[in-house]
Amino acid sequence: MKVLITGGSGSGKSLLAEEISVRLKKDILYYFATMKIWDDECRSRVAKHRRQREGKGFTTVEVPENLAGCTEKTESSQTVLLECMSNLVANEQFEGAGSRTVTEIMKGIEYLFDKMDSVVIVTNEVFEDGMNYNDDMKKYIENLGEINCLIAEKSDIVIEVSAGNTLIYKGSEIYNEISG
Amino acid sequence: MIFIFGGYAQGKLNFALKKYELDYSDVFDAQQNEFSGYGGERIINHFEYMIKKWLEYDEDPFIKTEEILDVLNSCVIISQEVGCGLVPVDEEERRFREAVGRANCVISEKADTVYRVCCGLGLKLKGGDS
Repeated sequence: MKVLITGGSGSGKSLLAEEISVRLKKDILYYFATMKIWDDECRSRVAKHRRQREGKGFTTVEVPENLAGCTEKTESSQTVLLECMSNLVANEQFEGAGSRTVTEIMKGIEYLFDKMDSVVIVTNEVFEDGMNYNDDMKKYIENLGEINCLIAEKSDIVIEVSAGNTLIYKGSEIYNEISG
Repeated sequence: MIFIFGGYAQGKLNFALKKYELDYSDVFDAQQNEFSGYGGERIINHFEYMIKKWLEYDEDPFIKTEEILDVLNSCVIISQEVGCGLVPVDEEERRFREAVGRANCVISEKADTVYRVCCGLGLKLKGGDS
């Protein structure tokens, strides 16, 4: 099962992604954390998300870059929750893969879709702010937009979360089955 | 009239081309061209740039939209959502943002079918099976 969940900041997309991945879990449930820890604000965000995940059986794997390299850190045929694509794209574009960001990230996604039983990916809505950005930021938005489109095309379920409500773009029947 | 809108880099045009089985020869690009060069294409892409140009020429986007309504009625119109961020510091940008939002409302109201596109996929907000 491949699920893509998007939404704005604080929309409740993480919680929904956790619920869905717990339901899809068979054996190991991996949490792919993509954020790099820069400062206390990052640390407190991580602590909040860790508390929210507590007791749900997640095994955390740090993947701030080189998603395709997760082969060495995981067993196949498991469930993965990756959060959040927006961090991974920033890390790759500004400090890692650079102009090959989309290709490199999609290589990792293909691997996960191929090897894992279920993959839930959380991404971010940053596309509706007009385009008053410098070239780097514009490229970032284009990269994230392209990756979202590519993942959505391959996904069974695509959901946008808005103020805790779910808008289902794809796979509503399967989604209803999963959420019972 | 069919209206398709959504954020930047969401695959709006590709969605329209696939959905209505059209190709690039059916697309009028309002970002690159003046509307005087419109040649009956089925899709009008970047409607937000038509608004930008009207504002630059000191024209009222409402009146201009009404004037070309007959043309728009037979088209698939694609526009961008630009209003979900902070208020721009620049006055021109503020006017543009407001005008695009209002125009999207007007076109949504007049359209038979409305899709919001996200991640390359369309969510139907209005209309039947077309």
